Amino acid sequence: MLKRLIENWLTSLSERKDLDIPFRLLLEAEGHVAIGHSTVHGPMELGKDIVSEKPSEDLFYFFQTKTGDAKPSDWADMERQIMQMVEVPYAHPNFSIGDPYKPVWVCTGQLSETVRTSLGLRNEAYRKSDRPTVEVWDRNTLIDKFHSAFFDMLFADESFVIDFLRLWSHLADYMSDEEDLREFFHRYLFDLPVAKERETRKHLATYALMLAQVSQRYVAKDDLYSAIDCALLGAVQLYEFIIAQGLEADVYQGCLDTVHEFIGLLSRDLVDQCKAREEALSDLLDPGSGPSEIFELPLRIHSLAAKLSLHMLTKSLNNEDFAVEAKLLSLVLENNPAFCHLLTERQMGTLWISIVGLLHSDHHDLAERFVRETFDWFMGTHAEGESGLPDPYQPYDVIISHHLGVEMPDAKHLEMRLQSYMLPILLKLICFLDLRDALAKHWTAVSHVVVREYLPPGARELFAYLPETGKLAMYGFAVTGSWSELVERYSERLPSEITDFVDRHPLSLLVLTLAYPWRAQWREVDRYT
Amino acid sequence: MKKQRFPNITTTSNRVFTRIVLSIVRHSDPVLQQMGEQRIYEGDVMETSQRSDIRVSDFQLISSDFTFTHEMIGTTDFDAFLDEISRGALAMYESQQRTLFSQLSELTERAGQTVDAGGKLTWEAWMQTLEKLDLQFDERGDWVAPTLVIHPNQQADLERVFQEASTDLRKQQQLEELLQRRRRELYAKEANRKLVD
Repeated sequence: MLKRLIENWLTSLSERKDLDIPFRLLLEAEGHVAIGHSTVHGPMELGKDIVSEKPSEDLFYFFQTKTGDAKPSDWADMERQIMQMVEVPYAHPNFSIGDPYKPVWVCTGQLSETVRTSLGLRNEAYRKSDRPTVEVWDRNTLIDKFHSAFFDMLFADESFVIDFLRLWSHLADYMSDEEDLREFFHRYLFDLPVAKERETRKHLATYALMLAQVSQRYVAKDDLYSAIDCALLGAVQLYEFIIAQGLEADVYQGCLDTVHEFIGLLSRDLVDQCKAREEALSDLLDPGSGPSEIFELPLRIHSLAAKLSLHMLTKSLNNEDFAVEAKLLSLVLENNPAFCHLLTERQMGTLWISIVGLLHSDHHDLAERFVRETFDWFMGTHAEGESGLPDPYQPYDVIISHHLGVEMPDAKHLEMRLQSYMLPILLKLICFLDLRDALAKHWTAVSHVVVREYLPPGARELFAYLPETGKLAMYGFAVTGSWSELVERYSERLPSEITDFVDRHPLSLLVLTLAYPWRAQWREVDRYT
Repeated sequence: MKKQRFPNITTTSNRVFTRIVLSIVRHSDPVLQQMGEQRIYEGDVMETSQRSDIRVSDFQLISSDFTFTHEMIGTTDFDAFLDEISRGALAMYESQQRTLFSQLSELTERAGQTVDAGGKLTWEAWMQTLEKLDLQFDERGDWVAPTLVIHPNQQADLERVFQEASTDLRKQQQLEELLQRRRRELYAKEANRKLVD
């Protein structure tokens, strides 16, 4: 998968200067000491773009770099540069004529048959004249080399290297890092000027590589959950960028596909691990967490169920068999009743996708049970003397002071009784599953609840993080509620001008639901069930 | 499959639990609440010296057990959870109280500041106690009476002793003489504060 990302990035490099810095970083990662490189490419470079010394081999390397494929029409110019590289002596205080050297032709594409033959003949001539032969590092060689050096080098653009390193070195876990990650990804995508199509392709390809590097950092720390969450966040930022820039599909499709593939790869890893230890899914309680387990257990169940459901729905969208994921999802939910014990409305995304997953895999009985129990629990948090649930925009750690009734200096008490952002999701599921009695049981309290809902005016706002435009709707319910009116109301769908992107990329709404939980769309439950 | 952990939640939880426990421990006893706090950052022994008098006290551990059952966690029962924190915190307060008074007894014994009243609170025992204590006076020279910590059973006796003293001129005079003498001693000592070569 990483090789695919690297290939995508290499293909996006259309100018030789794009390769200069990453290639020199690659050489450093391989143990070369760069002693010279041409800042201006042209006749003065005498066929040598980069010159390095590799002390471990006691050898100098002369590199001529090119982007794209080497076609027959390129051979004349190539041959001239190769002759200069091999035959014109290099002048540098550290290099003496007679020192052993290796000329290398670097090409981000592939060599055509004609070029390969011509170069072979040229090498034969050099061999006969006791000169070093020209080695070729083409796309496949470069992919292997960049892959081997993946964690020893940076793909970030020069102006972001320090920020990237700072982010990379401070990574702890997704919940702690979320804000820093979001800000960095957003700045990287939106702050660099990319006017031309060529620059945009490279920009997106580099972004995908960086995203993979950051996610892989979590994998290296044995935290696959954070790796998946990080990749999801990166994908949502990518959607926003694509929509905001009005990019054509052929410009972004390759990058988007690789990012989706990368999410799929990480999720598959999680599924494999669950499969290998199914018995662990029967009880997700972890006594090692200490007293904070009372908060961690419901979050852990939600996180795992949501990720399994996402992978299942992704496979379904790709017309692949998803029986294993469906089985694992039901196993997790059936055996861990704390799934229904919501601690914050921020869990509305994980709840949404988990129930949608159950519905999609025809586990209607289970879905019905969990919707009933979750709704009972939810209404219990709005009972007299309770404070409701923290709103979905609050970070997870406010749940502790909220539920223990302690005001901390950095977490003021949130009074959310009879106010909610997530009630529409529960009502949608209740209507969808025809659970009129579950609603009737709580109607007196429900009719007092004020619902808050952000209505994005367009697709860009839908995928944006806290946009400044759009409408926040607040509404309540009639004292004497009409079930049929409610069912009618909750059969509404998002308008097509907003869903245009989602129609083309249905995975995007699922990813959005997990990255920005307050964006979970009750109006789009039917799309995935 | 590794179970997901949430370090952020763990850290915040620990901060909140500590706050709840300390709050209960501190507010459970009006006497302890009045005592000042010293935050100790390193070391395992405290030595206080005044003139030639050096007192050393080891740090004492106060502890308590908290039991959070699987059922409590699995059912997300916050009421039971908070009850358990309160119970454990009160046990910790009791542990602190025991430790404090046993250490106090040991220190006063060593410093010769104990008076055996034979189980009865009397005016004579009170005066004897004051003789042995370093008395405090504020900047206006008014006596700052020490805090008395007694068993609740002795409260009636104590009130009776002070009630009788308030109407007994001889006892009032005895106390006033003691205070004047100690005040003079203190002023003389204070007046002698100087830095010499």
